[in-house]
Amino acid sequence: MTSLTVKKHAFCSRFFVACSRLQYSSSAEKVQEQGQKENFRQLKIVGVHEIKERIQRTRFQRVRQPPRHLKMKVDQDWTNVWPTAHSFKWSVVPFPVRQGHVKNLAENEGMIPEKYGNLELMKIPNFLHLTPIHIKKQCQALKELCTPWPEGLEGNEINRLFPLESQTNDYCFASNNIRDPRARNVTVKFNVGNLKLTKAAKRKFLHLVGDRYDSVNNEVTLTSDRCPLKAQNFDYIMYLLTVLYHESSVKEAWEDEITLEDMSRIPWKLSSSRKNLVKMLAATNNINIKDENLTEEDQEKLKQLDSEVDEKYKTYKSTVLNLVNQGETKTNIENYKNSVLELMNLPKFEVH
Amino acid sequence: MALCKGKLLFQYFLNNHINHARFLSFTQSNLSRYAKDFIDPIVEKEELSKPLDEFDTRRHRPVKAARTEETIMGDQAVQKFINIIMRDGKKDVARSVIDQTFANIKRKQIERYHRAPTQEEKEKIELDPVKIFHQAYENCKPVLYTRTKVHGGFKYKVPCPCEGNTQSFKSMKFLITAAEEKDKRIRMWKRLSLEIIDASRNEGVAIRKKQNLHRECQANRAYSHFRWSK
Amino acid sequence: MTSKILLNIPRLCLRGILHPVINTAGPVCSCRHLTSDVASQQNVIQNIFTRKEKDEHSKIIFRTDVTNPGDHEIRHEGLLYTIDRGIFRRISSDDCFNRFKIQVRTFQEACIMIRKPALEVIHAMKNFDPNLPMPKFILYGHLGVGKNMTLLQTMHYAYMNKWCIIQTPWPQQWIERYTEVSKSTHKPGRIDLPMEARAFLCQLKSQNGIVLNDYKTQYRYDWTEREATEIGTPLIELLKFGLQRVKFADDVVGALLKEIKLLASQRKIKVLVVADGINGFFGPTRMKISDKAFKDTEQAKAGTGFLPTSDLSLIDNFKRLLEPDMVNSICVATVDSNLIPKVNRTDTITPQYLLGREGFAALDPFIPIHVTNYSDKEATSMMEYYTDRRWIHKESGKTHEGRKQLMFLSNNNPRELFKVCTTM
Repeated sequence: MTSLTVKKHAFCSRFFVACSRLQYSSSAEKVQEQGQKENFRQLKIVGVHEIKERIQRTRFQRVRQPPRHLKMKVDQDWTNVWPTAHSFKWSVVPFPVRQGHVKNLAENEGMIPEKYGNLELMKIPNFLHLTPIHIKKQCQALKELCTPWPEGLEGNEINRLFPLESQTNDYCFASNNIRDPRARNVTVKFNVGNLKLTKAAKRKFLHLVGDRYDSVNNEVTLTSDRCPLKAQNFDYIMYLLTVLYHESSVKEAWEDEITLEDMSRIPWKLSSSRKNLVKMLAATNNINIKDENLTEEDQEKLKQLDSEVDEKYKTYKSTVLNLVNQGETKTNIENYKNSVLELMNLPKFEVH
Repeated sequence: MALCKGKLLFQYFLNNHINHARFLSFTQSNLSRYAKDFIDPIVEKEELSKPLDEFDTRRHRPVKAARTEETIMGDQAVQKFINIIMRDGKKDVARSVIDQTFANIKRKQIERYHRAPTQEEKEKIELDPVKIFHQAYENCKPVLYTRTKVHGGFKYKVPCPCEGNTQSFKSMKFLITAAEEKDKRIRMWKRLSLEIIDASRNEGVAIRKKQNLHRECQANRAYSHFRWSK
Repeated sequence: MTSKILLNIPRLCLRGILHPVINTAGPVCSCRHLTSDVASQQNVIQNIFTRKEKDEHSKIIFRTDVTNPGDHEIRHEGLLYTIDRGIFRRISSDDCFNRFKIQVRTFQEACIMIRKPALEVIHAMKNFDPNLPMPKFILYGHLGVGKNMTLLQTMHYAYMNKWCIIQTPWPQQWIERYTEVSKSTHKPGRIDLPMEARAFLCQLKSQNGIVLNDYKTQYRYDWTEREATEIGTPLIELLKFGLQRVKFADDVVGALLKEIKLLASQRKIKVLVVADGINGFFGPTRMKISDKAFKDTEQAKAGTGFLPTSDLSLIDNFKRLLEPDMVNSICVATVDSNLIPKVNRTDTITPQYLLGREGFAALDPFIPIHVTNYSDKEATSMMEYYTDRRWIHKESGKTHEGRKQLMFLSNNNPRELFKVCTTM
């Protein structure tokens, strides 16, 4: 197979040479024909013949302007230079900036490339159209479209009269589709104090709401984007709020069976600290709690102690509860320590 | 393993044909893991605090990490010792062994210092563990060692002068093997610290090992001419 | 993405920063034993950080000759004092203060720093109400911060004032590293650790030899049909019985603690209860019930899991001391994050977290005392001590610059500072 193709190739090349020769001969003939019609071209020698000077046509060369940033003044208005979002233009940006990566010393002398024609800089988004002056200007322009705030609704009055605050966004475009999926989102905020809830119900409500509750300003924020339309989303949130309210006031049967281990906050009545305190007071009054055959007098005294504990040792009670329920912060530990020192009748160690 | 051998061969080439000065140092000057455009780090603290010029190369070039010797525990021999004691590439273990060894040497010496009754005796006691280590390391350096050579179908142990890297390696290896041969129930750092203190006084197993090697060379001195034969 | 923006950010060698400066001259003055005029010297210690001229010789006082811990005041804070080595040997039993013992052997003296937590406890020991239940001081802080040294100082005070000291060993000794297990002779269902109890008795003997000699038993104890301890035998005899008959060692411990508790309630002696790592005594032990040693015990019926601490008679005896009927005594204890299983271990060091619900219920109300890292003043005086004892002997370690770096490297943590100084 191979030998065959080679032969074929040789044949082809030979054929081509022959053809080209033919062409050559035919063009030579044409020249001869022309020469017969006109004279031969004369050789003209400088000094002997008069030679017309050839007009050299100079090409028009555009003078390249220096980059724009060199001409910029220090106090120019940047909003005019860079009015809208645009990818990076090296000639317009006046400050030096480098971006990119060099592999070794040979590439760009080991230096990271400058801004001139730097593609890496064009790839990344820039915020040169969002300077403070830009925003100020745009706000000024928008101000004309706003209406003044209604009178008498300043401060807390608005929260009282309008406890629900809903927030939606509208978007406008210059493209062929004017819809934006974000426009359907609805956010509703309200103060928990405005709901009429009992103590237990409120605790349950906050459990249900979870991290949507902000303890700093006692507010709950509900957002929805599950329905396609804005109005539907708003209705859904209203429904949600109703369900939450009613669900939180329900009391289940198992709630009476809660033990100490299940509680997130330990109440004073059930805490070990209270038991210890009673034991301690009993011991100082020479009553042995473990003793089964307590005299009636002792038992009465014990009851009296038990009832007095809550009132007498208020500081200790509050510090212990803080320590157990809020966590061991520096101040909580310090307060606990001071209250125990007081309880134990120990002098404080003070540094002068 | 194969890679390692290749590396060693390459080193051997470099040592024999190009750079004889490398015998003097422990570190590899070639085969750097950094590209050529990396510049050396600034180690002096005063130099660091100086402001950099705008056209300074240090602004635009990547910098090598500082060597371990250049930081707080700076000693080349100690670093080499750590590398020799290392097993399975567990350098942190090796390093902690050496740290504890040095701490123990220091403790022993300071105890001896405080127990010494007179001031003169106190001044004689060396407290720096690194210096003690150097002393031990110098003491353990052999002058001669044997190389096996096959001649006429027989193996001969040919005594050769021991110098450069071989010498330092042998000396460190003596210290380590001497410590390893001691009672296994005692911690390595304890064994090693006792051995180093002994060796610094020209006593102990490591020194005996060196002497044994010398004795062997002495016994085989009749074969020393094999060193030049092919 | 390997591209970087470079806007006049100088790239510097970061690792070079920790390099010691060796060339700066200026030897810092060595130790001086002085007791008078401490206040003016403390100014010098404070001034060491504002000092600018490096060549200036500074005189830093780091020791005090006041060796009685009862005489220490807040003005002695940050100074070191020496404990007599004989006393130290008596106070520290076999398995306590091990790190410090090594230091004592090295420096040939037992020298500790007077710090605020210990002063606080000693202050309370001087004026506490003997009629109220025992106040419990819980020391907490990060590892290597000096909780144990605080214990040592309070124990020294107690020893000097002839208090009775009851010190438990590191709890792992009882809950994990047991040598021998036997059924309790006193109460069924309990488990005895005879060897550990014997060690505990040895420790009681060395710490309270004088106290135990003076007092006699007030109860009668029947050990077997033939052996019994009558009313009126000296406590030391009871203790010796426990050492001889190791089988009853656990019960002897219980009896001794009962006697001591009674003596304390009669205001005859004052008691200091010391527990290093008290949180180890609550919750489960690390003893597997499925282990061979527990074959014949009642606990083996449960089959799997770990033994609860309340089943060990030693720990049960110790916990009785913490009950509110213990008066005329003080408890000093530490909580340690090392005793929590490694899986649950976090950076939290606070007492309630480490004690757990059970421990908190047993100890509350207690007085938490935070033991912190060295202040700059304390670190300086400690480094001065190390320089005096030749632990720091390089010139670079004696300069102002070098010391600042040592403090930076150790973050003023006492244990770390000692470690860092080993290379100096």
